[in-house]
Amino acid sequence: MRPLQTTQRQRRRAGKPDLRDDCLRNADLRDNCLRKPDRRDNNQMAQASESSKSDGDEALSGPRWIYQRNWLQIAALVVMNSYFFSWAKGFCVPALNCWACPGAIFGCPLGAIQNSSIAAQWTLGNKPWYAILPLYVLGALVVFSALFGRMMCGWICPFGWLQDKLAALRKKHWRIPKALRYLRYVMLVALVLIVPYLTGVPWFCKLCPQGALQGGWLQPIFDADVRAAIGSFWWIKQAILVGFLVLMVFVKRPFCGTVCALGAIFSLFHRYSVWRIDFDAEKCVNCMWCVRNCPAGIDPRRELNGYACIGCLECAKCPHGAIQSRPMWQAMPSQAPAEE
Amino acid sequence: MKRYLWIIAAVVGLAGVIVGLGQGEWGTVLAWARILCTSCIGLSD
Repeated sequence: MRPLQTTQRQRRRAGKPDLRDDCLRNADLRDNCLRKPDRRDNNQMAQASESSKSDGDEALSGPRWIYQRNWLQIAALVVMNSYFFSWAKGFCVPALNCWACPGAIFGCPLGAIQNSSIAAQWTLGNKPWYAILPLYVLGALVVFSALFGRMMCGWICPFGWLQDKLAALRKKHWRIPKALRYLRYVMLVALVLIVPYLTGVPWFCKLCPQGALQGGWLQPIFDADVRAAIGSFWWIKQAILVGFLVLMVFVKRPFCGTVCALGAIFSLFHRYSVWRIDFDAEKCVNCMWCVRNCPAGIDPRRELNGYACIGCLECAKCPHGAIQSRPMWQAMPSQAPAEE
Repeated sequence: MKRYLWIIAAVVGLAGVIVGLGQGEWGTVLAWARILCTSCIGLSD
C-alpha cells in the first residue's frame, strides 16, 4: 500500500532527486507556474485528467466548482444583506457579517456569544450551566466546523472577500509572523468571553472593523438619530477600519490571520473536518505557485489543513496537480487503484 | 480515529443546537439581533 503523503524528506530517503527550484530552471515549467490559472487551464487539465484516467494514471486537476469561489462569496454577501426576511436573525450565520448592518438578515455568532457572556453576569449561580451557555449558537458553529472546517472563511465570509480583493491590488505581500496567528485565540477568550462577562460590554464588537464598515457607515446613512449620535468613539473605530483596509493591501487576510475570533473557532476543527486537502510531494516541483496564490498567505506545501489554512482550495488549482481536495470518505487520488 | 472526529463533533454540535432551541435560544438571539448594536456601529454608550 502506498503512503498517504510523500514528503520531500521521504523522496530524499528513497534516493530520489530533490525537485526544489526545478520549476525556475526549466523554461516550460516556469511559464506554467508564473501564470494564474483560468477556466481554460482547468478545461485543459480536466481533459488531461480524463485522458490520463483512461491510461490508468492519476487525476491532475481540481474539480470545476473550486473556480466559482469569487461568485459564491459575492452571492453570500448579497444574500446575507438582502434586507427582507429579518425574522431569520435568530440564525447566526457562520461568517463575519455585522448584524447592525441595515440590510443584515442573519445574526452574528460572535455578537450572540458576547451577549451570552454578558447575560451570564446575572444568571450565573441562578441557573444550571447548560442554561447559561449559548448551546444553540455554539452547537451550530461546531456542526459547521465539523463539516467544512474553515471553508466558511474562504468561501462565504464577506469580510474575507473584501480582504481577497484588496490583496489582489499588489503582487507581493508581507507575511504574518507565526506568533501573531495565535492572537486570534487570545481575542476569542479575552474579548469574546472574559471581558464582556466582567465589563458588560461586547468589546470584540466595539473594536470590530467589519462592524465599523457595515454598521458604522450604513446605519448613519439610513438613520438620522444614529447620525446625530456619532461621537469620538465612532472615529476611533473608523481609524481601526482604515488601518485594516490599508494593511489588507500589503498583507494577505490580516484580519483573518491575526484577530478573527470566529476563524479561531473554525480553525480548531479545520484539521478534523470532512473536507481534506492533500499534498503530493511526488508531483510537486517546488515552483511556489501555490505559495504565491494562497489568499491566506501561507505555504500550502507545509500548512495544509492547518490552523492558518482557510480552506479556499485555491492551491488545489495547482498546475501540476500536486494539491487536491476530497471529502474524508473518498480515498486519495494517488491511492486509488489504477483502472485496467 | 481522527477520521471520525468530525462525526463526533457534528453529533455533539447537533445535540447542542437541539437543546439550545428547546430552551428558546432562537428567540433570545432574535431579540438581541433586533436591538441596534451600538457597539458595532461605534456609538458611545
